[in-house]
This record gives sequence, C-alpha cells and structure tokens, in this order.
Amino acid sequence: MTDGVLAESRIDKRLRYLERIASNAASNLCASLKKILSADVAIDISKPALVALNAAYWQMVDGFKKENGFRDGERINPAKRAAITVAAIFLSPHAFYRVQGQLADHANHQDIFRLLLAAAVIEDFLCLPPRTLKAEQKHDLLVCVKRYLTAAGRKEDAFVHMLCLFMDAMWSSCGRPHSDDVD
Amino acid sequence: MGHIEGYKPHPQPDRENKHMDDKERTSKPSLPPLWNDDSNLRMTNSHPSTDEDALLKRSIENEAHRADDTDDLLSFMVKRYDVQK
Repeated sequence: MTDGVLAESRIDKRLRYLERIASNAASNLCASLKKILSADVAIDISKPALVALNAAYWQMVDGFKKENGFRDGERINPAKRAAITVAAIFLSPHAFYRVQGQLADHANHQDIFRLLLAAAVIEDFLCLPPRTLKAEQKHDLLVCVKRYLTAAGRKEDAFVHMLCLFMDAMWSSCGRPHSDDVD
Repeated sequence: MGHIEGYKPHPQPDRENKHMDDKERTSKPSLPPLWNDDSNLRMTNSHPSTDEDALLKRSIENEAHRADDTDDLLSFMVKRYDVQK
C-alpha cells in the first residue's frame, strides 16, 4: 500500500518530518541539560537511525492495514498512526544520536530523547498539545502503546514507564496527575 | 520489525473479509479505540490530516513551546530521581 512513486514521495516527506522533530528535540535537550549540568552538551543526530525508524513505521502501517482489511486508498486514523509511530520509536534498536561531553557516560539521555520524540508525534498527529490532554485520552493512548509493546515482548520495558512518567510530569503541571491503572 | 508478533487485528464485522472467521469477528479487539474514536480505525473527514505537509507545518508551529516542555520533563525527572535516592 505504500509502493509506487507517490508513496515513495510520502516516505521521503515523512523522513523530513522525523528529522525536523529530532533536530528540535536535540536542540531543546542540549539547552535543558546545559542548565542542569552547567556544561555544554553536543548532540549529533543519526540520520541512518531515523531512516531505519521511518522504514519500520511504514512496515508497521502496511502490516496494520493488511491485518485489518484496509482497501487501497483507505487510511489509518491519526490516533492509531500516532500509536504506531510511538511504538516504532520505542522499539527501535538504534541510538538516535551521538553525544559528546559530560553526558556521554550516561545512558538515560537516549530514553529521554525517545520520550521527546513521542510527545512531539502525539501532539503533531492529533493536534492535541500534551498539556491539554484529557485524562481518558492519555489513558487510551498509553493503553494502545502498551499493548503494541507488550505484543512485541517488551511489557516491562522502561520506556513504557518513562512515557507514563513523562505524561505525568506534563499533566501534573496542569493539575491532572497520571494514574497508574493503564492495564 | 514491521509485523508485531502476537498482535491480533481488530474484528471487522461490517466489512467483507475472507480471511476472518466468525470467532475472529466476535473476538475482543486487541487495540482499544482512542480519542473517542468510533471510526473503525479509518481516517474520516473529522480527523486532523496526517499528510506529511500538514504534519511538518504543525510541528514547526509547535516548536515554540517544546523547549519549555523539555525543561519541564528534565526538572520532573531530576526531582523524581532525587526523591528515589
């Protein structure tokens, strides 16, 4: 369903979108870390990792359409596309960037970066800023993402918990704390 | 990656699908509806566009507040980490 010249163009455009949110996330992450660490942090985005992420996303989309009987021309709705993209981000085995300096010795920054990408995807796909998500919307999203990751054998993955924490952080700031009853 | 091992598709009771038997059609959906979505997984005119151009445009608009979001996230994690220590 994604073959042909037109589909290839969409794939290229989607890669540009991924590069844009990754570059922005890297820039913001550097700025925030600089405030915390009082040291310069340099981040180099890995384009091959984003290319692999993009390829994985389209494969998952094709699989989803095939398994759910989509006809040619029918498109998956934004919520499911967001969930598929977030799952692809969390399931990617690749590091999305290289980091130099003080942060190089810490592994968690890669996880934080995935969370930033996931938040951007959710917001862009659904036109719903994370700060204004309703409780049931966040719950539904987390349920969906968690089921994808569970199906892929990563039920206890730290990314899932960190996503919950991330949403918790943003929701706490607007008075809607997260509950842990995702299952 | 692509296919997710163990994933079962939504039943499609209102669509012709020769690959699904009656048991599959009535089974519980493996993925829940999102955002009060009753569109049977498919894009409708009421959904925001996920065309690549629209996504990129929205992303650029949203960049204005993402620096603050990132600060919030890291501050939250630093506090949470300090509490756990």
